[in-house]
Amino acid sequence: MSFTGSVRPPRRLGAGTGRIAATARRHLGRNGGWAGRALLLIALIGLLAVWPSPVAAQEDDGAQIYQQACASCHQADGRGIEGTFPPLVANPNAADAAYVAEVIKIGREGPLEVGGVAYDGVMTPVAGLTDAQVEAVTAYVVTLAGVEKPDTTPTTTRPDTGDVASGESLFVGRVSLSAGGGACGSCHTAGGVGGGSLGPDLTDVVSRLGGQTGLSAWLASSPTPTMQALFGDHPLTEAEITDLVSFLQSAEGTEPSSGPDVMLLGGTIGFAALLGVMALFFRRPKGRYVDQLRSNS
Amino acid sequence: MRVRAQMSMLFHLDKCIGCHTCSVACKNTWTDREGAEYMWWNNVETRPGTGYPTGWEDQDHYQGGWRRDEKGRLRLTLHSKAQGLGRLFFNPAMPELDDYYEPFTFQYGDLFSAPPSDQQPTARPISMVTGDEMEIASGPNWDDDLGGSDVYARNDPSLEGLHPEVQEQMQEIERVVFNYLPRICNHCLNPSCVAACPSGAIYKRAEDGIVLVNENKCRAWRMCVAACPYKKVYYNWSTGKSEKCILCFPRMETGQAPACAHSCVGRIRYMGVLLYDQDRITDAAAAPDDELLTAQLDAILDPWDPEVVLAAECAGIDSGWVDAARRSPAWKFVKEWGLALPLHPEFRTVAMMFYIPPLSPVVSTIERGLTRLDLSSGDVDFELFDALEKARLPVEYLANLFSNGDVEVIKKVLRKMLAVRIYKRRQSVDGTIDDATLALLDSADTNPEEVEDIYRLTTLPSIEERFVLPPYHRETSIEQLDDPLSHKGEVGAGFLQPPRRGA
Repeated sequence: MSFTGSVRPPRRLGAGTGRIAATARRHLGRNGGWAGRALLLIALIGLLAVWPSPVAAQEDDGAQIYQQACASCHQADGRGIEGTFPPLVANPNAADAAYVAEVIKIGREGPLEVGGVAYDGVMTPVAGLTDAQVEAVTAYVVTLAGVEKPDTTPTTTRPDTGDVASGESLFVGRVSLSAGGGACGSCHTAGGVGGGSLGPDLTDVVSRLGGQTGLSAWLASSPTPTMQALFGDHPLTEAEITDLVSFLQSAEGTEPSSGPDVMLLGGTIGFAALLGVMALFFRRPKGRYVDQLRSNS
Repeated sequence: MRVRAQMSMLFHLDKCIGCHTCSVACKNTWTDREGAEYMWWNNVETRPGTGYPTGWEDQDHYQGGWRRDEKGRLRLTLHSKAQGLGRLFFNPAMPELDDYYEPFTFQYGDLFSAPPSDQQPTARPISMVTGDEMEIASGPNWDDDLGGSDVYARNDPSLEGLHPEVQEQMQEIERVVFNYLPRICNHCLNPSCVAACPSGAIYKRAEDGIVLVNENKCRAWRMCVAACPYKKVYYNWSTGKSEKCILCFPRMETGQAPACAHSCVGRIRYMGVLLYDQDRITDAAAAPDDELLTAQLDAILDPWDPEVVLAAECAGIDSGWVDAARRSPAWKFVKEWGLALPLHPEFRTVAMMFYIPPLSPVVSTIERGLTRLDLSSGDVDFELFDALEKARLPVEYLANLFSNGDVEVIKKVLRKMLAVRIYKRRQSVDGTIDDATLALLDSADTNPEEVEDIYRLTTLPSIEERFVLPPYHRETSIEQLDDPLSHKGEVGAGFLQPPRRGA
């Protein structure tokens, strides 16, 4: 689940070996010779062995890559969320392999119309895929586009059966997430609960991410790099997702927390007070020497 | 005894005409760059005066150099280590750009592009820092030839301790006096800039004692700028690195004298090797005030002494360097003849550039339109010799500059120089040397042979006699750090990396 975070651009490898080679040459000098080269080779082999390449095994499994990298928005069956994430099924654009590959690599933004529904969102580039992987997932998307569009109701919907109270407990961190992921509230706030301000406010996240279905898919495999880095190795369980979705649904429409920002206010006053105290001890610049001479004479 | 070699420059102030050729040669060679416009690694000051940056000698203001605490230990005047940490981001002793001067140029293009008008077009001054029009308020030699002496010369920190009457007399038009003082980095044995640098970017080169800033390690703390009592480390605002006089080491390594010395019109500058004892630096720097000068001169070793030669060999000093030290004009003037002194030994950095103090005429007065020398009748030469306190440039003033206030040291030097002058005058004017002159030489602690030698090296030296440059053998120094064959088959010896801000 964590390949995007750990795959490095290949350029880095080149720079790294260059440095190592330079260091080795410096240390070994011209007498290094055969032994030096052998040592260098061993070092390089060792380096390649430990270099992270978790996606190597799934090089050409387009379906699997799709589930990891695309399904959170476009949904597992490729039907998207109406009005938020465009469907890939029965989408003429998605049948064009070159177009799909380009969108995967450089992203897309701006208005779009698929099946009579207008979309206007931003898709960030899918980072960390090799060319072969892009090719594989493109092929898979093209096959999705060929699927006849069946009935409009999604085949899988997550019923709103979660427990709002336990969702809130998970959100603020009273109950830890079972896989060890961090509590949502450390970065987010929803309906005035949580208090984190690193991530966006989640009060209206359900409507923003295309309803409970979209949000559930999002939570199952988050596409953003930050969420992925945090939850890639610590996925949420099915039950946790339903509880959290229920809680966030309940938060929908409530007033976001307002009132004076105590931290900001206190910080400003504290800083001003500190400056005031320090002004008593700070030494002032002495000023131009020649001005002192002029005032003397 | 651990012998080290130092390249030392000698300034014969009696010969300096204050033409600033050295400064311009240095500027054109090294500091004609963005961020370095205000720097004058070599500058020439008028004395009395406040110099560049203004009032650099006033360590109550600038806090440079070292001081000796009650227990006889050396302490940086600037700050203790703890204070240094507290002042890391704001150092009140740091000179401002205006203490040097704001570098300027003129909009010469306006002279050609001005529309037709009744008035002559003018080239207005613009700042080389901001590019804006500016009012020129200072320059690198603003008090040259006593310009603005009411502000500058009158406030020379080295006038301290002079009788108020004497100070007043130096301001009078008929009695006014000045001489020139060319200055470069002193490449000290106990450099306070090195001690103050939090990044460890400044070092004293082992082979020739040149103090250098490693531009790759410099992190723009600028403690060196504040700590140097001579204010000879400069901060480049463009690269964010400090820079200083490098004693033209690329020239010396190729057998050429530094650009300032080479271009000197009056041929006042000499270059030579001095061997010194590294073990005596601490004593020399921490000596009590009255022994400071002697302690420093004692640290300089005799290159003719077999023990010194042996120790030099053990220390890995090339025999060519010992040979150069024997022929060194610095050795002759400083130690053999005792004529040259370091500038401001009281800063305790053990400066290694030396100065021969200038002679000056006697004080005169105007009486009924005629100039009358302030001497009793008799033989004028001998009178001045015996009455050095009548010299126009007060010996107390010279003592404040070169001997930490010890007038006797200055008198001894001036007497010997006068003895040379009187002896040679008798020789060329009278044709004979009388007993009185020989007795005078005796009282000046010299003899005819030495006088001839001093005369020869002062007035008639060839370029090889003025600049005795040792064989550098850079290849052996380089081999210690880099394998000379490591670049075989490659292009060049590497890239010249200009220093970058923040790097």
